[in-house]
Amino acid sequence: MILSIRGCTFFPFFLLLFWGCSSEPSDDRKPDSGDIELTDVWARPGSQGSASSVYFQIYNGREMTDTLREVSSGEAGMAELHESFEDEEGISEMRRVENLVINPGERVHLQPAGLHIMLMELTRDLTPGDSVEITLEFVLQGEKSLTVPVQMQP
Amino acid sequence: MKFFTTPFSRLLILALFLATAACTDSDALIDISSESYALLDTDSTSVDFPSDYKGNISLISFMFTNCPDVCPTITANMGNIQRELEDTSSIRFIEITFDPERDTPSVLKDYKETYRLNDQFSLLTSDPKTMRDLLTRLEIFAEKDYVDTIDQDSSDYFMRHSNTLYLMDEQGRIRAEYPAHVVPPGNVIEDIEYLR
Repeated sequence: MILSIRGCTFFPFFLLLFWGCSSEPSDDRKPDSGDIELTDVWARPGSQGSASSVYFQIYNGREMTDTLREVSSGEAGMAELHESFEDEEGISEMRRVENLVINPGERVHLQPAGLHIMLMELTRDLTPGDSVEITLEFVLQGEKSLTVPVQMQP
Repeated sequence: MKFFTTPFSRLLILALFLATAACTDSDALIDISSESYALLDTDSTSVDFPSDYKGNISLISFMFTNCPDVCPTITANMGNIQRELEDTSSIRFIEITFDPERDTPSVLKDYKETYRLNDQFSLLTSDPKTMRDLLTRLEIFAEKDYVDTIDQDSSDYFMRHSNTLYLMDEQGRIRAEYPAHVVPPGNVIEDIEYLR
């Protein structure tokens, strides 16, 4: 009798505990698609020899943490994952991000003035309406190639 | 005449003087109206800054063309302000480079064409000393950040920089300051209407 009362008392607590775990992913969906999904992909215009940036959202539909560890493009001398940030005095700076860890069910935004793929030493002009090919390498997912439309910032 | 010799009248005159001074000087964050900086436009024509913009209300931002992320975001926000303004007459959009060594008039012209900026936009450069003097006067910070930290003579660098948008009135006085890439266009437009 005492046990059943205790059970009734603790049942809502355990329910809340497990409910809390299932809501931990930042996205509404559960990580069940088994794939890395890339959406809202676009690149800035840029002239030959200069730089451009690529932006998108990454959703980790796998049930395990994955890591974006390499980016490349045949249309840029160098491609790296970078992050723009402001220091405590409001000065804009940029740093290279070696590995981008994406938890199961997490959605990471690459967006202006934040995380972005930087394409340096462009081999040709990128104008709105063009596209540029890039390849992302994830630890678990492996390589994903993308055709990125070039457009003005929305 | 006796009125002007009493202690009360002297106090009143002093208060009026201080109030008048406060109304004029405190309106400007930075007053460069009587100064002159020799700059170059994208077609290499000389620009006397800020004199050539007097009579207009100007938005002034700062950028460098090798900046792949934040500076184009600032340019995009300037474009958003332009698009959302119902009346753009007598409004000028000025972008001044932090990086006069690489941002020649022709490089700035390419940037202007790439980002489809119309003739209301002026992209300005100068010789390094003049630009340094102007940026210092406008309290704008910019410093080279070398990709190869050992090779300080390399032309392969990015820049650490202020992220500032200024609103300059028709007299050439800086009247408002905003965070350039995130300020909502509506806030700037409200201040432009106030100055009109």
